[in-house]
Amino acid sequence: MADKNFKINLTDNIKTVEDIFSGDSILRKRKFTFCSLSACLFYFDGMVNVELINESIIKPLVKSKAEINKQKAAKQVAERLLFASEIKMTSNINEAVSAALYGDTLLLIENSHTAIVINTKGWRTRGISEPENERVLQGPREGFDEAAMFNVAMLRRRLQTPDFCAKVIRLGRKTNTYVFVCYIKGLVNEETLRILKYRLSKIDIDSVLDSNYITEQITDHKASLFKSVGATERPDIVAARLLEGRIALVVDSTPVVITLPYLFSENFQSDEDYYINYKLATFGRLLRIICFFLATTVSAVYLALATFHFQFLPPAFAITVSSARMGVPFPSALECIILTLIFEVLRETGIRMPQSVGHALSIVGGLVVGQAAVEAKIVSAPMLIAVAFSGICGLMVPRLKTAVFYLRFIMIFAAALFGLYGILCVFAVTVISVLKMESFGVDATLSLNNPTCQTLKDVFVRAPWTKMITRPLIQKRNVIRKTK
Amino acid sequence: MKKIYKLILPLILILTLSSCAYSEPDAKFTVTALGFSEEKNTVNAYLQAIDFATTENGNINTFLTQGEGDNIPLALSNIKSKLSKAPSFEHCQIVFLSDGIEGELLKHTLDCLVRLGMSQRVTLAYTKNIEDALSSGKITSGNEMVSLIKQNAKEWGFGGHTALFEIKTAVLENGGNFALCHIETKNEEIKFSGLAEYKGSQKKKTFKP
Repeated sequence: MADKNFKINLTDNIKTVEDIFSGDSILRKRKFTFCSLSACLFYFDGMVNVELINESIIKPLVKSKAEINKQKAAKQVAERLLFASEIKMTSNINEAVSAALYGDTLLLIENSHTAIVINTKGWRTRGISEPENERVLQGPREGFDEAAMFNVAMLRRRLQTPDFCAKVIRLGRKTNTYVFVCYIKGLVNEETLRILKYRLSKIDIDSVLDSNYITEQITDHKASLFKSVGATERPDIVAARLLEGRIALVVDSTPVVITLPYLFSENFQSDEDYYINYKLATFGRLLRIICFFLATTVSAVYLALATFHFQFLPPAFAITVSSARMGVPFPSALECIILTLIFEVLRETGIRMPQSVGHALSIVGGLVVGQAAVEAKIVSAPMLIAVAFSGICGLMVPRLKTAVFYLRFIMIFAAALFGLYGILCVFAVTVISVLKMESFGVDATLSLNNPTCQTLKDVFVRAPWTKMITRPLIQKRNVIRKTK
Repeated sequence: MKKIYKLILPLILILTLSSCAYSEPDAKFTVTALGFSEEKNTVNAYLQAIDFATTENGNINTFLTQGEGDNIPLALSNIKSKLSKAPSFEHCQIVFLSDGIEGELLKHTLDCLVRLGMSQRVTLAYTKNIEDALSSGKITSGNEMVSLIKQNAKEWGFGGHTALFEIKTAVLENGGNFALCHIETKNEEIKFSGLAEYKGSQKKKTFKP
């Protein structure tokens, strides 16, 4: 749409707006007269607070008996008659239309080439609820909803400092989605901010309907199995990350907020770690690290031992393995792949199903099918145990589910082809790729490259708050979080 | 592309040089015990393996098979030709030596055990009648025999186990001493009945409790 301005004639301006939204039947128009002047309101039904329009725009204007100078009508109306909390004047049609599309009301007055944009946003939101994927037993239970403005407000409530910045940009040629770049001045790494702004400026897409549209376009390692951009639905987590010098991207119409840079150690951190006793949190974190290794390797190692390195198994276990395999028609490798796929199918179906069906599915899938398959000699019991254990361990690290899923299969293929040597090769390549990872100019494993008590205090363990003296070294200055 | 070749080449070398091979655990017989004896210049080899087809609910059923040959590899080869699946010696727990397995034959036996990939865990024992020992009714597998030997040997202050490499060293030194458990069979039962002392590759005497 060309950059045009409103004209002086009200009829022409009304026609212009109507022409722009000619295909939109939820556009509402309300003509009225006040103080001998004709005026027209435009707003979108469902996006505005109608009561607010009645009480703060129509009522004061219609009831007004003020003397209005026709040449300065818009300015005088905005300053003296309207009760709205936020009013903006613009003569640019694009700007006015854009505001209307985000729930503002346009007031056009005769003999005025300026539109008054009144903040009457009032669309319905889902409201604050606990995020399904990030439940905690102890700690805050608020979660973001789909309205970016409210989400930023939730952050602002937690960060009551003038240093908190929330700069707005709009992305998506058709959706014009509001994206708030949030950070804390003085704590943020300026280089990271520069890289982020550059990458955001390079995004040219017609729609941004979820934060993942942006994540995939700004991430460092697009082909990597490991994330280099974080995502959460919890305002307390975002606030904590901002306080560590990170940047948050609050995208309108999604509750998922992007945080960056993303350190590899964050994969093993739980939201609850900081709200429960540090000893328990440390145990949980170590368990998650161990479970990540087990999730990716257990079924592959079992396969390698059973097929390539049978001599490594203790005699009693070797006999059990051989005995259980009797009568199974598939080769061990195929059996392992099939079982892993079945587990993934059950997991995926369980997520998408309603909760009541999900429970039934777990029972049918886990108990009935599993036991029946073993009894029917379609699969062997030790392999089923290995795959199931590996699958359960994978659920311990939800932030690494992509990596766990792919690595598990890669490990199984490597084990089927080369035994333990294959597994070790995949492991080595994975470790090298993790150590090489960067997230927005920051080393993703910076704590491991500079191992001191302070850098490791929140990696393998969760140190007590009395020992959390410095922030992660994402930024080089202002690193002291707590005085000794 | 050169980098990829550089990565693949060592991988192939490692895999081929380590004789890495895929085989299903149920596609082979797990050997639990072996025995060798010599009579009239013919070596008799005995092999006890688990019969998985009849092994259920933790009850291990084994079968015994025998082969003859001019030397140990030939005797073993005869046994293999009678089996429907390849034997896997990695979990063999006990090897019985009988009369006649002395001198050069003992050296060949030890070499053979090493070549079969037997670990240091394997227990060597002496018995007069290998067939009876391996087919005795109550003790069915090599695992159980080893447990029994160790249990009884403790009373003698003997571990019941002499590592394969120690025996090999003693035999190669031609004069080193080593002792093996002496096993007797009576009424379908096997029992620990003392120690068979070897000097170099020759059996010297038997100690009885």
